[in-house]
Amino acid sequence: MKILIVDDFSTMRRIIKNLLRDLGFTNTSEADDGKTALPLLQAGDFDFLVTDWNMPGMTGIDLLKAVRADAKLSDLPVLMVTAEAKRDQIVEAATAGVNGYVVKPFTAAALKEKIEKIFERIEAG
Amino acid sequence: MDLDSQPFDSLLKEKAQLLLDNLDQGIVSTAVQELLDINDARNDNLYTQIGKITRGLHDAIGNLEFATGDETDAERDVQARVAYVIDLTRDAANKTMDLAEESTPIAAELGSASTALRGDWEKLANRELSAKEFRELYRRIDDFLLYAEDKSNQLHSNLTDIVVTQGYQDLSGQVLQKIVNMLNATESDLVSLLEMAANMQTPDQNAEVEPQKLLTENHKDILAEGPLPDSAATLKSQAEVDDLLSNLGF
Repeated sequence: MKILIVDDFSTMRRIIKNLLRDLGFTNTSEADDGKTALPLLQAGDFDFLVTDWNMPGMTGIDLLKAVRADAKLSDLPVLMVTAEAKRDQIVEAATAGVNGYVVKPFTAAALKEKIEKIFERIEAG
Repeated sequence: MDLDSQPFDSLLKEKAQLLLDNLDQGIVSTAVQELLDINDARNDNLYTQIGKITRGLHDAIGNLEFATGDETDAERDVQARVAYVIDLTRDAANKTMDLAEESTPIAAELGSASTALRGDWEKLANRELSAKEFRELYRRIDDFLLYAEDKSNQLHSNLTDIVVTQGYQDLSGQVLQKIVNMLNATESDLVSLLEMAANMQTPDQNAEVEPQKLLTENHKDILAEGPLPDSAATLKSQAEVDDLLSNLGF
């Protein structure tokens, strides 16, 4: 399981990386915005994308849309971990095809639950 | 020729030439008229400049929101954001210290329990224990293994919570970035106002300044979202977000 973590704050990337490691996912890579993440996704064989929303360069929602528009990446599971908690933003992310949405600040349990749920759905297929 | 659209300096040159020509030819009444035209054009130009500065001032005041009362929305907004950062950092520091304070005695207990067992364990290795003492040691080691497993889970959980708590850096960073953007936009408004006032002394050079455009551009950054304390449109918890998503069929 290869996972890409995208957030402009390195502290948050470290936190998510730590929690994923706790869940047994050790093969993680990092990017600090959508612009650097997209080529990594297109070049690499990632199985899961965890992304923030509010980032300079290219935002998480634009990255999500770009992923869904890319034939090779369109099925990639995407979890959004973000401070954006407005109703219309969540609706927009859902419309764009997000697989899970976790609002910051979050608990380790909440993140774990969302990730497990996404994988359960994928396996149920 | 349309006097309104002609730049003041070219009009001045043209009229000055006509004035001299008329004076040379002794047509004094026409010369006086040229002089009056120059004066009118100068006044018009002045009014245009004053109008521009007034509009710029009005826009800047609107953007700075200095216009009403002692405390404006913008100031209250900044205060709310700073208060949010203070709360966020204080809560994170307290939570981290609580977890560390809770973990320290656990680590100490694990250490002292190990030390106590190690004494008898050495006796066992040296065959200094009676059968009764050995059964007692066996029971204590059994208890200790359960205890160590439980306490190490607790330490692990506390350390994970400490890691997650550091997320305050991301949230406070986003809020502070927004405040910095607001201050930069305010500074730009004041600078553009100052430039317009300075250009007042040399009319017409200021013709290209478009304060409205300048102000709008400067304020683009503020529109970015982020953690918003007490915003009506913001969902308050992960549970509310989950409800919304499940209503949307997720």
